[in-house]
Amino acid sequence: MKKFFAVALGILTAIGGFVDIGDLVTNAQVGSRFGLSLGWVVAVGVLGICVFAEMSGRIAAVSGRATFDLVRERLGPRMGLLNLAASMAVTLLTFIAEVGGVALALQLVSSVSEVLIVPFVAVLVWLVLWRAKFSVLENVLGLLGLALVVYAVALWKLAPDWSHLAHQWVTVQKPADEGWNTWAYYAVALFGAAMTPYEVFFFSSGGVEERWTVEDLSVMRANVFIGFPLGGLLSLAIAGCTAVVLGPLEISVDTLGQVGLPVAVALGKIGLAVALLGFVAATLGAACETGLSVGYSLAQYFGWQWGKYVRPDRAARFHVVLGLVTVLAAAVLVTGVDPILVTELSVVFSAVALPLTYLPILVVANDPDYLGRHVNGRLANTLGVVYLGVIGVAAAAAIPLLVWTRMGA
Amino acid sequence: MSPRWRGLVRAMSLVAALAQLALLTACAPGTPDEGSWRLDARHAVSDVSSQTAAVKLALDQERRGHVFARYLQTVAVEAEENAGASSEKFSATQPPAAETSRYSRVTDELERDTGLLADVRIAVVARRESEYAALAHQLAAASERLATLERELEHAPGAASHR
Repeated sequence: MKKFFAVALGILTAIGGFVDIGDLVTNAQVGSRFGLSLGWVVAVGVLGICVFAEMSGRIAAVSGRATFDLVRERLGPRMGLLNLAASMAVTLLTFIAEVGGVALALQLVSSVSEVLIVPFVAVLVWLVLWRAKFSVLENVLGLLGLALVVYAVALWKLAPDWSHLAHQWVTVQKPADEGWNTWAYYAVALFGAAMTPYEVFFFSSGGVEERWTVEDLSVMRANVFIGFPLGGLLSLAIAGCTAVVLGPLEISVDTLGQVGLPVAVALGKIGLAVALLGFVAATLGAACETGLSVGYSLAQYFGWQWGKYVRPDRAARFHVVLGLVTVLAAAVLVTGVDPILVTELSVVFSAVALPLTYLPILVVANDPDYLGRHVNGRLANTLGVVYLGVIGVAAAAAIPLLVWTRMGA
Repeated sequence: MSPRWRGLVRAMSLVAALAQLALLTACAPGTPDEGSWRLDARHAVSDVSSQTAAVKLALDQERRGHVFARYLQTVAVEAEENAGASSEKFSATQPPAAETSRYSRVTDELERDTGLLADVRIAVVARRESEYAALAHQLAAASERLATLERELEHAPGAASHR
């Protein structure tokens, strides 16, 4: 029974923790402009993140060491540094977007400018990173993130033409007034949002924090292969809601407030309140995860003591990094930069950084010195190599599409 | 590193180099010809139209008791800011000679609708709920005008009148 609850809790937190500001904004934008015609990208992205999260979780459980720790050792300092630079830059950008996302969510409740809220959010995030236990951080915010299930309820209540939505989902088509270049740009952005590098680093480092062993592999796989796809369904529900409510009104989503409108239409104030709770939990949870991921990656590369289970005075450099990146995020956001713009950039640059993030994981997951008999099987390697091809195409196309479409305008 | 993985690393490096090359060559057209001016105009009209429709939807939901006052206020303030930014950016572009009259029409319409969004924001902040119905009606009319304008901007000035 105890194991059942552990699996259930893991799955629920995986669902609740799957959606972040990038998923919220990108899925809402895509839904309002393209309906569910890019829903297949979410499915491809979710399968991809499952493949690599399972590998990194297995590495953590079998070797007891996290990804960056092994990447540098296995591939050398140069490749490790390249891996570190690419993934940390994107994770830092995502962290700034998530902190801004919390401020935007609180702005919807208070109507106080998000610039004024940012310093308080930064202090809150730093306090959580400094004081909160890892399990509390993961479980409480993950479970509160489940409030976003309200989008699935709202979609059901809106009673859309399900066959039309399903047809959009399974066919490669676009609205007549949108160009294929814009369609491709949003496909790459959705893919980047679904496969954000920090998710894998946080998952793997979290496994080390929680001292996973080989015996935890089945629980880890249940979290990945049940929790992540169900989290992906939440993303689709958000896109479905904006497709049904905002699409026909030609509203292209530019603000977090517009993301919440379909829920208000379907479920009124109670639904909207639940969605707002979900926004705060999802963005705050992701802000903590991305902040920790920056600290994890730097500390693991340089061989510093790290982790939430280590006393702060014994992992001083790790906690100094957490403090500095929080100050940096606040400093960027108080300039008045639009957090939605930061979010849009973070998902596209996430796509650019994907090869440098996932290739080393595939290499380490094939090394019997670390994984023994738990090295990748044929299926994991086939999927891994196929996904590296897809990731390479997305990475190569991301910036040209960003420039060509003027950020999807 | 085994030769197989070294090859894979090289392939990925090639992809990254190609991506950089593509970045250098994939610049958006900067020449303000008639086609790109019309595209900019359509984008500006579409942006303002989107903000107008969003505020109308939020106002309608407030009248049904479906949103909180502070939520409506945030949606209205952000819509006004975004519409103002789009309008301002478009106004600063130099129109080609053939589009001078439509430039004036587009900028006038965008300014009028941005002003309407400011009126909505003022009413929402002051909680003048009795004005919401009339404002929603004006927003609906603005959305229709913007939709018509956007359709017209798909064609050159002469071609538009024949359709």
